[in-house]
Amino acid sequence: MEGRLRLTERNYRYLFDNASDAMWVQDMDGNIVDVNRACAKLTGFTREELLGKNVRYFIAGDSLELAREVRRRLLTGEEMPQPYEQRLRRKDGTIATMMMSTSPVVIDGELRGFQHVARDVTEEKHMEENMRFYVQQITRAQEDERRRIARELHDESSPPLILLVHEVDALASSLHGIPAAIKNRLENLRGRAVEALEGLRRCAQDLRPRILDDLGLVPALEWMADNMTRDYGIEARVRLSGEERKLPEEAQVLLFRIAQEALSNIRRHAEASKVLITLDFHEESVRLAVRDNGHGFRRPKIIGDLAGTGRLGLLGMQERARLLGGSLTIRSAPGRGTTVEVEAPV
Amino acid sequence: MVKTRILLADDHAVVREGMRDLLDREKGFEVVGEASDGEEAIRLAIEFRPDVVLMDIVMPGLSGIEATRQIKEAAPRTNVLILTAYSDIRYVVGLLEAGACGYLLKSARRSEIIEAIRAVQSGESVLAPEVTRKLLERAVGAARGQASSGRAEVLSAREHEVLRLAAKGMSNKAIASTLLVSVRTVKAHLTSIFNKLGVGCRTEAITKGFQEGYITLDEVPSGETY
Repeated sequence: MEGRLRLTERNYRYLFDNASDAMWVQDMDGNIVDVNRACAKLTGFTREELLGKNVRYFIAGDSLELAREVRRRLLTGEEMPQPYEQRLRRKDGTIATMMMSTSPVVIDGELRGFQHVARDVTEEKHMEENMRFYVQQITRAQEDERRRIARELHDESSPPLILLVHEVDALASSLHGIPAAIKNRLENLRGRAVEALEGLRRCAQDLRPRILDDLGLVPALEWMADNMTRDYGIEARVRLSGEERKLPEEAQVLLFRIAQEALSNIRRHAEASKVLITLDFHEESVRLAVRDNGHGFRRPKIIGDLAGTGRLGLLGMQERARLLGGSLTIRSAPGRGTTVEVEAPV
Repeated sequence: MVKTRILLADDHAVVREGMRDLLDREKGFEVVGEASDGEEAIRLAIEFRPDVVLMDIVMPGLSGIEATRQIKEAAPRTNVLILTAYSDIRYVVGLLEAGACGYLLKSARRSEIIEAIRAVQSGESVLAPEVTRKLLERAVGAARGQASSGRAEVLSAREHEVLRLAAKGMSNKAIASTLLVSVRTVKAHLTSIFNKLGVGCRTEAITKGFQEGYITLDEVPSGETY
């Protein structure tokens, strides 16, 4: 019986030492009393160096604050979501990001310290940030490209056509007593030139609506709401609050695109009959919300997961919100409509 | 005959040339200047005090819309007609709110351009009734908590009548036959109304008259749906 028990202890010891996650135990003062190999690998110190060191040696600032909060919650029995994200400083001074779980060590009914299991997610974190940066760069580049092409259509392609239309008009009015057949052909020519011009305009308008740059965000939102009502029979309104002010061009475009994407989602998925777009101007921020009365959806816990569920548009909205320095919230439940909301410090 | 003095503002020289060519050949019109951007348009409008500015919206630097705002501030009697590629009602209303009295599509026929300038100058309507109505509906919202910009002189009963008929979208001729007076008399009334309200064209007179309480929204037909 005793032999089996010793074997189990050794077994646990083996598991502890060789686990791929970092583990360590600290006493009530934060001094490390036991560590495993993965912990040595994570921190860059040897196990001998780690034993007896205080955890404050590795964590500082916000991380220390977080550690205190975790400790407080565990002691008071308050809810503590686990694992949580924590950062520590390695021997070489670099910062590692970990997903951590912490639990109290109780011996003979007495609290003696804390034990931690931590997984190094620094690489994943970097990848995620790189990916986010990449998505943001693409979003910016796409917007620049759209604007450039729209401008080119206006500046380079339209004027010759306008001129052509005027020339045909001039020709038709300068010729007196010309045969009706020629007059008709001139009229057809004019019609075709106008058609081509309209085509260019529609194209430019789809890329970047002029109303946004010429009149600003509020008229552009109202215009979009009008179109939604007229073209899709979904009653859309814009409501303003606070004191309207002119926003920086980039912020204006990003907010417009978020609203545009939200309306496009409503059109395609929501089966809504009403949409309310609200724009609240606060002193140091702007809040845009698009609410519909459609059938709603069960949303994934993390918006990032939306890419996996084919709702890339929502991801685009989220990255635009980040570019604004704000955040995107989506509230939805089956049968209760959807609200997309972004608050940005502009 | 007094000539209608016109200023052209467009960043495309070829478009300006074509326009000048068209207007110069028209009796009673005189192109007094050409501007290639918003700042120049404002400067020339203040210098020449033209009757009408034909204004492009998209220009380098100051946009045609901002230029319109500033021109109307410095020279309220100068009328601005905006040349645009877009006629969406919300867009057009935005142009009018900036102070334009009407708009012309860039592909408009020569005859339409000439007619529009003449119409503006004789106090005729240059807008579809539904555009006027939308403009006034928005003015209802904007008027709240905001006193009207300058005090206007009181209109006579006859002038009030003419303004109400104008708001219905009636032409000068139709107003004349309703009131059993000549078209010339109607024009004289309109000129007097414009002077008293401190505006340059019918669009502005209706908006201002609405703000001053001479016209109610019920008197403006909603027109065809857009």
